[in-house]
Amino acid sequence: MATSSVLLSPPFARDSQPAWRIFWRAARRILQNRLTLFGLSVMLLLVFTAVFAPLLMPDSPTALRLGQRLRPPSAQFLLGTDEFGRDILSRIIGGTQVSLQIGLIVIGLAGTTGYLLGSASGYMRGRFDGVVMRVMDVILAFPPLILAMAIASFLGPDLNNAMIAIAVVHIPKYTRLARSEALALRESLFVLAARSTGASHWRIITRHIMPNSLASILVIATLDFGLVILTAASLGFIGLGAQPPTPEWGLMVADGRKYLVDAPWVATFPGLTIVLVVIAANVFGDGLRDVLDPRLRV
Amino acid sequence: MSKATFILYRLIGMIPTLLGVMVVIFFLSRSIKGDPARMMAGDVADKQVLETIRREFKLDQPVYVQFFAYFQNLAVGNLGTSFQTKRPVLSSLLERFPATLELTLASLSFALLGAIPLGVLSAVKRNQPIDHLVRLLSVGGISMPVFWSGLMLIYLFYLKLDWLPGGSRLGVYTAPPPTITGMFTVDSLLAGNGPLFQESLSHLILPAFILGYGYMALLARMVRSSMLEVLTQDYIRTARSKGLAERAIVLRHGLRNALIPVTTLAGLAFAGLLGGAVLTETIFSWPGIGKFVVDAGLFLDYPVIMGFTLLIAIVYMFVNLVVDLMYSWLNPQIQ
Repeated sequence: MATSSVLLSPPFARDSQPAWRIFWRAARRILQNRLTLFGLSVMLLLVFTAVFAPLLMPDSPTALRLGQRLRPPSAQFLLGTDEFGRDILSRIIGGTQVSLQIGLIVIGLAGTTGYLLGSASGYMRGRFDGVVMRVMDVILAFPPLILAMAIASFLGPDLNNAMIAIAVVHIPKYTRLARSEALALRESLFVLAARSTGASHWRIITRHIMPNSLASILVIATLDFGLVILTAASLGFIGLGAQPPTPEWGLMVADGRKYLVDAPWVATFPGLTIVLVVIAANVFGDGLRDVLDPRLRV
Repeated sequence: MSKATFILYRLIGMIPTLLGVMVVIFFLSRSIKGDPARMMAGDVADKQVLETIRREFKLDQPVYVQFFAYFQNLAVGNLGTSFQTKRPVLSSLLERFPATLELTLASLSFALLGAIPLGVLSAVKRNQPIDHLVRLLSVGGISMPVFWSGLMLIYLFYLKLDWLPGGSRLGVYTAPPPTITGMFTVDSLLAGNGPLFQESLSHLILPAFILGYGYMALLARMVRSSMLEVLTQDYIRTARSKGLAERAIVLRHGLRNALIPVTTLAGLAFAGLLGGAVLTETIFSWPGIGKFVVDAGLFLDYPVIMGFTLLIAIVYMFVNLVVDLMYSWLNPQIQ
């Protein structure tokens, strides 16, 4: 019977090929698309730069040199200097560490919380589900950036608080996705089989439900990376994110705003970096989604 | 279920969420670090002044008493008093709201007017250069921080070319039109004042463009993929086999159906526009509620942040309701 075979096997093990072959095929399709390849390359460059930042920076990102204020791009300062004579290139390179850290921590926090809550919610149903979904409705009742701003301003202007704020705003997306997957998976035969062997709810959720919705969650997480960086930069720009002298890109654009007339390079280059990284993240996320989980196409 | 009962049902359904929103805002505001009384009184105030303030704002009472006081005040439309301006938050917000509304509506119409032709063009000429260009523009639009692209436009069109003003709603020496809607472009038209309309419009162009651009990009992408899906449907083939002109097929049979899923995104876009308005207003010194709240945030003026967040959440909930209603009106299959 067609239905029982669907119920029996989790969605990503449908074809009984070895996992490495599925992975290899996905990887080949990713590499074949030039746009996705571009996205992947920029993301890898970002990680590389963040890891080796101390070696790559031509200068200290925070060293003040008041004699060299607002110098235009030159051989000595490739992208110029800012109001305190700090080398902008070094600050952009230092900023890769900040942005990568923000992206990983925020998505890690929001993803794990939403993934667990949503899976449990969809599996348990009933009152727990009702409460969780009500809470998510409340979070979704705010425009995302506004809620992040409100949380960040009440917790106090600080990078950690901004990360918490952005994570909270992103939780409902993961919760809803994990819940809808869990709702379908809980009816499958392998969950029934697990239950009949006396497995605890916790074990069923973490061992049988969650691994089977992981692919969708990972796709959403990748697609989120660009948005999280953008939101963090926006909070940085209005003074609610990273604080000076942290080399955060949004903060650097805010610094450059005052000198737009005489030194437009101060605001221009950090902004261009944000655009490049976010475009890359979006393009790579799109490609990954097409390969791993085309159902998620928005 | 009739339309009226449906609306009523939805409105009742909003009450628990609205209560949740208020509870969240209240407890967020209590998580603030530092002493609100100290912030109101300033650093040099003595103990007695602090005590008076605490009593006046019920800060010496247990949390649950404060909680009910907050709800009591909300019930009579009292959002508290700004620490900074010493004026009621609600009237300050309402005063500035038309400016934000003007900016948001202008960018939403710009986004829709740009997105629909671009999306249709892109879908019809699929995988041709124009399609690639539109897709490139939309990825760029989604990925561009408003606060940066706004600055770049100010640099180009104001500082370098001097074609458009670089901020605020009117020139420094211009008196605003008599208030009817509070939106200067509309009011100046209603007053029949041509030059004033021109001036307010020239101030609106850059911020509305930059705020709307990202959503134009997002909506164009939606229109494109929705059009592509619709164009493969059977009824399109039927229309084609009847010998209808391609133009009629695309616009009357295709676009009309393709726009239905786009309406849901328009609601989402409105939320983003309200958020983006905060950044755009800051950059363009646009005196709306967004700029007001950013200034308040820097001074930890928390009644203002609370009031603003609540107001925006309510507006957003109603927009979502309207979007849902439009959706069921456009597609009667959905109840």
